[in-house]
Amino acid sequence: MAGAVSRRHFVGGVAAAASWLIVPRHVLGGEAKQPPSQRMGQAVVGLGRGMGMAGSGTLAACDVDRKRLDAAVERAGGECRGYTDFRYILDRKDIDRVLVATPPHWHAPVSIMAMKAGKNVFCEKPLTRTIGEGRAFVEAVRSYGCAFSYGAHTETPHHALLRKVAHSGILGSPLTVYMRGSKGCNFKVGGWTGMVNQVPQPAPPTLDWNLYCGPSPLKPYHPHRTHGSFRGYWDYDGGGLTDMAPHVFNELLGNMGKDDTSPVEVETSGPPAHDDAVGIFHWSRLKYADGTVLFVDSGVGQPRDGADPNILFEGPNGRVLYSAEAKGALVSDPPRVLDELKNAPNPPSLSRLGGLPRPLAAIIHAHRTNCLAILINISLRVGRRIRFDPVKEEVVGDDEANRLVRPPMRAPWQV
Amino acid sequence: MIRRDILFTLLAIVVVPYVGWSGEGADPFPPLPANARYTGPDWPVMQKVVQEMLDGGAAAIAAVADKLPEPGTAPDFQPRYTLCAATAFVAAPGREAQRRLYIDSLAAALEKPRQKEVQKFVILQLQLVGDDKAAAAIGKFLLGEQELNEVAALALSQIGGAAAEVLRAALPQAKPPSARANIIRALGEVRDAKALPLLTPALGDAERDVRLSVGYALAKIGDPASAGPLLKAAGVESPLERGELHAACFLLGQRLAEAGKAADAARLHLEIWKNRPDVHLRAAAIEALARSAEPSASEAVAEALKSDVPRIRSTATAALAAAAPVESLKRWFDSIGGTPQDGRALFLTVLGRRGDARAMPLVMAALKDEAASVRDAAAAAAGAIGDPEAVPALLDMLKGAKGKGSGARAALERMAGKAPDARIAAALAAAEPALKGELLAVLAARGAREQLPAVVAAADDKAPAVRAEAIRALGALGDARQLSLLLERLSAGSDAERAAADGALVAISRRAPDPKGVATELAKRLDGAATPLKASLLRALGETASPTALEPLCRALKDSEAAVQEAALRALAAWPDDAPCDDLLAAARTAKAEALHVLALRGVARMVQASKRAPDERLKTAQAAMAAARRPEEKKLILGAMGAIHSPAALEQVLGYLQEAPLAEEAGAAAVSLGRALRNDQPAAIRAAMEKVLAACKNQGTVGDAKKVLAALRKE
Repeated sequence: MAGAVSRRHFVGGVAAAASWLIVPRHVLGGEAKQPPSQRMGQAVVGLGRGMGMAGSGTLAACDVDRKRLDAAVERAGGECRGYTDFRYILDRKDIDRVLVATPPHWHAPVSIMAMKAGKNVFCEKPLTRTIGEGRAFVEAVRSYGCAFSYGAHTETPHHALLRKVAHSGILGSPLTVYMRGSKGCNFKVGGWTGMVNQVPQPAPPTLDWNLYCGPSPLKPYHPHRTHGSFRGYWDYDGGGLTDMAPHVFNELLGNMGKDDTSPVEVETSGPPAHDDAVGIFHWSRLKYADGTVLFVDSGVGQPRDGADPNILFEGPNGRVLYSAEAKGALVSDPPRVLDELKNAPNPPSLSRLGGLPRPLAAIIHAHRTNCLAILINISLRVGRRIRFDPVKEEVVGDDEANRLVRPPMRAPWQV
Repeated sequence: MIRRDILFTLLAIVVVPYVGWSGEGADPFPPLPANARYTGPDWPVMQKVVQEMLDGGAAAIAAVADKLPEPGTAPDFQPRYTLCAATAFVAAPGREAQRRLYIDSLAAALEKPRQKEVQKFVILQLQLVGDDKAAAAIGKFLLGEQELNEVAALALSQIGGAAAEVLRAALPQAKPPSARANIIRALGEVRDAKALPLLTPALGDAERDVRLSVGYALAKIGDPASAGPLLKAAGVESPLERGELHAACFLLGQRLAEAGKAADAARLHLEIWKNRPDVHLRAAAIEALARSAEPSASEAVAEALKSDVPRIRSTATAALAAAAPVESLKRWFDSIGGTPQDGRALFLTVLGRRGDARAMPLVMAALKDEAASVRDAAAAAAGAIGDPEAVPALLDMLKGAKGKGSGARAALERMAGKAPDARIAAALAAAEPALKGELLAVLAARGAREQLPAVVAAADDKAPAVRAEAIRALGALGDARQLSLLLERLSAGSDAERAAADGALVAISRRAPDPKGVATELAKRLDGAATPLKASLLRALGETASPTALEPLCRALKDSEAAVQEAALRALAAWPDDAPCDDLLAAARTAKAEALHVLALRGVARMVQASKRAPDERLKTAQAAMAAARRPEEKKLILGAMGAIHSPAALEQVLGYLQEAPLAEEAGAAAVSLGRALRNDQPAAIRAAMEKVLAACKNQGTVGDAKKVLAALRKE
C-alpha cells in the first residue's frame, strides 16, 4: 500500500531477516554502559555513498535496498540499526543529526522532515531536484534554526582572479564569464544521459521500488534508474549538469557577488528533451539583472557563434583568457590587464551572505548554485528562452516552464 | 530465439511506421535498440515533425498516441519523443490554437482504454500543458487503480481551476487511504476552500499519511478556522507527525499573514510559542512573530530576545533585523539580551544585508558602541548599505587606537559607488598623518583614479610616512604623468619613499598604454644616474616590454656595478619574447654570481622553448646554453627546452644525454616529447629512439609515454 507506514513496510518484506530485533546489551544500559537514551547520535539515509560518511556514533542507517542496508549495518557494527523507511528514524529521540545521501529527489523531503522533527542535517549535493524544494529547504533552515551543512567542494578555476576582475571593474561592465566543459569544468554531460526504449524489469525483491520513487512519479523499474545512474532521469536528478554545478559554480557565484540571486533570463541550446531520460545540452546563456552573463558551454558539440572556447572573462575593455596555445597559461587582451590584476591586492569578499548565521548562508548559497543548473534544464526542457523572477522564484510569462519550478510530489511526501 | 534488441530494431524498421517525417535530411528516428542512450535530433528537425502532426489535426495526434506501446513490448521513442516535443512546442506563448487542439486531442485519447503506463504518460503531458477542459478527462482516473489515481491527482493539482470540483466530487468516493491522501493534497494545492467541510474531519483519520495530507491541505487553503483543529492535531507525541503538523501550522500562519489576517496568524504562532516545549518549534514561531506587526506578537518577541536559549535569541534577533519596521529597529536593538554584543552584532549584520538606508541612524550610533565586535558589525553594515553619509563616521573609527584593525577600513574599501571616493579624498587635507596614510591606502584599494590629484598632492605632504603612502598609492592609481615625480623621489626621497617609488614606477610602466613613450623617458634618465636609481629605472624598463628598452637593458648587462647588472639581467630574463636571448646567454657565460648565472640560463631556456626562430638556430642556442650551464638543474631545463625543438637534430642531441646519469630522465622525457611530434615524419628513427629511452629511463611516466609512442607507431 503506497505510503503506508506499516511494520511490514518498515522491515522491507515478510521474508527479511529481523536482525534489528536483537537488542544489544548496551542498549539496555547494563553495567558500565551508557544507554542510548542518554546519548545523541546520527543517522545516515541513503547508503550508496552515505555509509562511507558515517562514523562511530551512527545509530541508524537507512536504505530502500535491503541488500545494501544489511551490508552497511554489518560493517558499521555497534549499535547501528537498519531501516528501510527513514520516518522511523525521525521518530527516534536519540538521533539529533541526519546525513542525507539519497538521490536528489529525496534530499528535500528527508532533510526538511528531519528539521521539522528537530534534527540537524548534512545533505549531499545537488541540494534538491527542483527550485521549489530548494526554497522550502532554505525557509526550513531559517525558521527552525537547525544546523545545516552541505557536501560540495569547489573547483572553479582561477576563482581568485575572477574576484579581482569583478571587484576592480577593469574589464568594464557588463562582464561575461564563459565556461566550457572541456576546460577544467567537466559537466559530465554525455556520461549521465538516460535510456530510452526502456524495457522494464521486475524490481529485485530486496528493493522497495515504490519507496525509492518516493515523491517522484512511479515508473516501471529498470536498474539504470537506480544506484549510480539515477542522474540520467528527470524524476530523480538533472544529469551531469546538476551533478557538477555545485563544484563549478559554487565559488564562482560568491566571487561574482551573485550568491543570493538568480539570473533573470536563461536560454539553452540542445535537442528537444525527452520527458523521462535526461539528454545533452550544447550551451546555455544566463543573464543577470545587472547585465552580467554566465555562458556555460557543455563541451559537447560546436561552440556557439564561433566563440573562442578559451575565453574565461570578457568585458567591454578587454578579456582574460585561459589559452591552450599558451599551454594553459592565462593571458589577457590587452596584456597589461593581467599584470595589473596579478599585482592587485586580493579584494574583500563580494559574497552577499557575509555575516549571516553559517547554516543559513550555506543553504542560500547552495540553493542559488543549484538554481543555475535547474534553470538551464528548465529552459532546455521547454525548448525556449525563459525569464525568471529571482525574488519570487517564478518563471515569468510561461506557464509550462513555471510548472517545472514547483512540480507536486506524490503523497504522502511534501516539503 | 531472437535477441530482444534485434527484435525491437526490426519492429522499428518494419512494423512501426515513421511518424510523419517527409522532410529532407536524416530521418530523426533511426532505429534504436532497447535501452538505448539517445539524445534526440535538434529542434528545427523536431519542429517540422511536430508541425506535421499538428497540421494533421486531432486524427494525427490520436494516431501518434495510438502508437504508444506498453513499455518493453516495442520501442516507444518515436511516438513518445514526438509527443514530448509537441508538449513543449504548443506550450510556447502565442500558440493558443495549437495548444487547444493538442489538449483536446490528448484528453480524448484518455477516453480509450489503454495500458496503464501509456495513460500515465498522456496524463503527465497534460500536467504540463493541460487546462480546465482536461480536468474532467483526467478526473476519471481519480477513482481508478492507485498509480493512475496518483498521477491524476498530481496533474489536477497543477491544472487548478475546474480541477477543484472534480477533486471534491471524487474524495468521498475514494476508499484506499493512498487515494484519499492524493486527492486531499491536490485539493490543498488548488486551494479549494469549498473542500474544508470534507477535510477538517479527516484530521482524525486512522491513517497517518491521510492526517498529514489534511494538515498540508488545510494550511495551503489558508482558512483561519483551520487553526484550532490543526493546532490540536499537532499536539501528538511522535516527533515526525508533530513536526509535520506544526509545519502545516506555520504554513497556515504564513497564508493568513499574506491574506492580511495578521491577527489570526499571530494568534496561531503565539499558541505554539507559549504552549510548546520544543525549542525548534518555538524558534520557528518566534521567527514568524518577529515579522508580525501585531501588538500581541511584540511581547513574545521581547521575551525571546532575552531567552536563555541561544537559538531562540538568535532567531528572534535575525528575524527582527530583517523584517521589523524601520521605526521600531532602535527599540528592538536596545532590548537584545543574552550576551548583548553578540546579539547586537548579529542584528547589525542582518541590517546591513537588508540594505535599507533608513536604518543608518541606528548603524551610525552603533559605530560608537563600547564593544569592538558591535562597532565592527556596524562598520560592515555601513559598508554594505553603502550610504556615503557614513564615511565621516567610518573615518572617525579609523582614527586612534579604536580604529586599528577595525572593520572601518574594510567597510570603506567595500562601499559601492564613486561617491565615497570624493569624501575620502576630501578628508585627506585635514586628517592627521596616521589617518592620511589609511585614507590613501583605502583610495588605492578602491581604485579611485578620479581622486588622483588629491593623491598626488599628498605626495608632497610634510610627513614622510604620508608621502611614502601616497607614492605607494600612485602605483595603483597613477600613470605616466607622475613619472617625473616618481623619478625625483627615487633620487631624493627618504628610504620609505624610494622603496614606494620603485614599486610605483614598475607598476605604472607595466600598465602604460604607451610603453614606447615610457621606455624612452626612462632610458633618457639612465646616463649619469646613481646606482640605486639606475637599478630602479632598469626594472621599470623591463616592465614596459618595449623594444626601445632592449638596448639600454642589454648595455647595462655589462655595467661595472653589480646591482645594475642584476637589475638588467632580471628584467631581460623575464622578457616576453626571445629578442634578448643572445645577450642573456653571454651574460650567463660571464656572470660570477651563481644566482645571476642561473637566472640568465633560465631565461635562455624559456626563450628557446617559446621561440619562433628556425629549429637549427634554436638548437644552436640551446647547445651553447648547455655548454655554459654549470649545474644539472639548468642542464635539465635546457633539455626540456630542446624537447620543444621539433627536429631530428634536436632528437639526436637529446638522446646523447641518456647516458649521463643526472640528466637521463630529463633527456628521456624530452625525447618522448620529440617522438610524439616527429612520429609521422621519422618513424624508424623514433622507434629506435624510444627503445633507447626504455632502456635508459626508469621514470614510470616517461616509460609509459614512450610505450604509447611505440604503440602508435605499430598501429600505423
